[in-house]
Amino acid sequence: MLYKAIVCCRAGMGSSMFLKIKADQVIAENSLPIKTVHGNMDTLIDFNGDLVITMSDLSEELQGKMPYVIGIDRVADKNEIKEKLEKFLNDIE
Amino acid sequence: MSLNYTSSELIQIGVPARNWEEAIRLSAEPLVKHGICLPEYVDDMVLNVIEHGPYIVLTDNLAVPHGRAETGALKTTISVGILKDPVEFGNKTNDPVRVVICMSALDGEKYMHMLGWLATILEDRGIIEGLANAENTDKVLELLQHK
Repeated sequence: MLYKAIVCCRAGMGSSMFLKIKADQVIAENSLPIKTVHGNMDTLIDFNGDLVITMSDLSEELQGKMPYVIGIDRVADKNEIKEKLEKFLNDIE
Repeated sequence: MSLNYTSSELIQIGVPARNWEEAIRLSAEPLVKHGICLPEYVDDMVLNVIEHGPYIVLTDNLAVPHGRAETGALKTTISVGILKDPVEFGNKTNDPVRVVICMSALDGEKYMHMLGWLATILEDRGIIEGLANAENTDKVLELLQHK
C-alpha cells in the first residue's frame, strides 16, 4: 500500500516546497510507503489522498476536515517529520 | 554551488531591526538595490506574513520571507540579514528570529535547486547558530558553502 500525501501551506509558495523536499528526503531515507504531491489551499479541497502534511498553524484549522493531518513545527527538522510520518503509518495500519 | 544563490553584497551583519517587518524590509534591501527584485516584491513578502501568519519562521532562529514571483521577482537569489537583536515574528515554536534569509524566486528549475540547497543547509542547526553569530560576510559565505 502506497499512501498519498499532499504537502501544502497557506500561500502555496516557498515554504511548502521546502517542506516537500524535507518530507521526500525522510520518506526516501526510511523507505516509507508514502508518495507526496505539492499543493495549496485551492488544490487541497479536491485532494482525495490519505494525508495532509503542512505547517502546524494550518494543521490546527484542518483537523477534522481532512482524513489525517500532520502539522510540522520545524520544517528543517527531519526527526520531527520522521516521527510524525511514522505515527501516521502506525495509526492508519 | 551556493555562490550561485547569494554573494557578499547581499549579506548584511548587525541589521538593526526593531520588529519583524523591519527585519524583512531591511534584510531584503540589497535585493532591490542590486536589481534582483522590485520593491513591490518586498511588500509582498510583508503582506504574505500579514495574510498567512509567521509560518515563514521555518525553524529555530530562522525566517525565510518570500513573495509571489509575479509581484516583482527578477532573479532567483537570496539575501541574508543577521539581526543585531533577536526579533519576535509571532511563531510560537521557533521565535525569536536572529537570521533572515530573503528569497527572490522565479518559478523554475533554479528555484527548485535553490530550495533543495537551502533545505540541506538549514537542517544543520550548527549552521544557523553560526550564521546568527557571524561577525562578517565572509563567515556567512563560508557557512553557506558548507554543503
